Amino acid sequence: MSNYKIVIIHDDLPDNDPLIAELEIKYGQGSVKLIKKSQEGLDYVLENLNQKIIVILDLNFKTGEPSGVQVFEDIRKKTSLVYVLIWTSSDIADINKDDLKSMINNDALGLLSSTDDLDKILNMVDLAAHRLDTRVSSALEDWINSQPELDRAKPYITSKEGKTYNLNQILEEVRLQTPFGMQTEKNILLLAIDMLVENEESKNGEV
Amino acid sequence: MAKFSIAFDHADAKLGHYFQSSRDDISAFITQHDNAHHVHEIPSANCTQGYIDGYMPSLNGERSLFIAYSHGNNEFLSSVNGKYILSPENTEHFTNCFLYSMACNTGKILGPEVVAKGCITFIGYKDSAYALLGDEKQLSIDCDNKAIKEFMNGSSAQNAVIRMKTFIKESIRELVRNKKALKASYLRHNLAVLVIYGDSGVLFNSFN
Repeated sequence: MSNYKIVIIHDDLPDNDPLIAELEIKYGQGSVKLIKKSQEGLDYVLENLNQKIIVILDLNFKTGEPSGVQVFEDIRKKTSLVYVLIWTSSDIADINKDDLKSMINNDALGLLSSTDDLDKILNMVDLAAHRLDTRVSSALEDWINSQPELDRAKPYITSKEGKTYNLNQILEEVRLQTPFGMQTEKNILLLAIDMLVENEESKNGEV
Repeated sequence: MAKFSIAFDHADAKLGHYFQSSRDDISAFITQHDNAHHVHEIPSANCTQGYIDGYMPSLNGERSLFIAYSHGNNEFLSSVNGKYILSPENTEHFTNCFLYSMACNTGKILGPEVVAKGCITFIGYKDSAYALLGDEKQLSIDCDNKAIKEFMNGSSAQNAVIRMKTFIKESIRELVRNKKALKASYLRHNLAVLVIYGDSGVLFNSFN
């Protein structure tokens, strides 16, 4: 389970918080990074998009730092593949309505409250890890990142509309969920289903 | 002897080499099939509406086959010199024609429209279509040209498309076996968006 990076962006969480210890037991030593300044947290996430990242993001930061929602929106401008859990000390009813809309519309994948017990937070992280493992886009990201850098930069596919993509660009399109990126995900899923059905049919044929 | 017109936008900056190779592939096949077939080539310089508007009526409504290797969209085929077949301006010129378009999206509006105006059969893609490059370029061309070759070899238009789909499926399996599943997935997309309109039972010998 050590191939995940769990980035906690939170200005009040102590370094020795039990959550960090529990996550490191479960996901491996060094798998958790606590960052107390929101801009630094954002920069870290965007510089490490080649890893499977789960972000636990506090909503409220000290004046002068980007808010949690701002960080969240900036992550989503670059990728939809990072799993973001919002962690707030506020009651949901107290969250600004526009912020809430932004979280829902930009696919925040979980909402944690500071009153949630440790088990509940750990379960949410487990769910996030599971979803990261089972998403087509994540599998594609893993595969592209495993290719030699030189190969990733070579033209890979050209649409007859005239757009050429190399593997890095395909990954970028998937991260940004552009029409081409979404079509690519769909193509892979349909191909996988075809292959499964064919395997099943050939098994049945052998009986 | 059949009459062929082959439009190919070889001057396109990105896919010109692919269009040229597609044309080379089908030209070689046509010559091998019967030396007496007549082939009229329409390279990039002549892929213009003005040229098509002059050339197509010169066929005097005789049965012929028109093959297009270029970019396209819902309502037109285009080249570096602009749109050369476009809805509704010059779609009436394809009466008694078998139109085989390997461009993107032309099966959406252009294909049904030419058929409604008297084109015998249209085969093409109703959505974006992809060209595989690198080591798979020839495979991609073989897939694109499969139906027209099968049609010339005696399959009905419908059966030619079915054989093309079967060939694409086999190519997909081969790519997956060679750990090229992502490329296979784009070919799978081409397979899903291949369409035929008009007379699906027509045979090549009716063009001789």
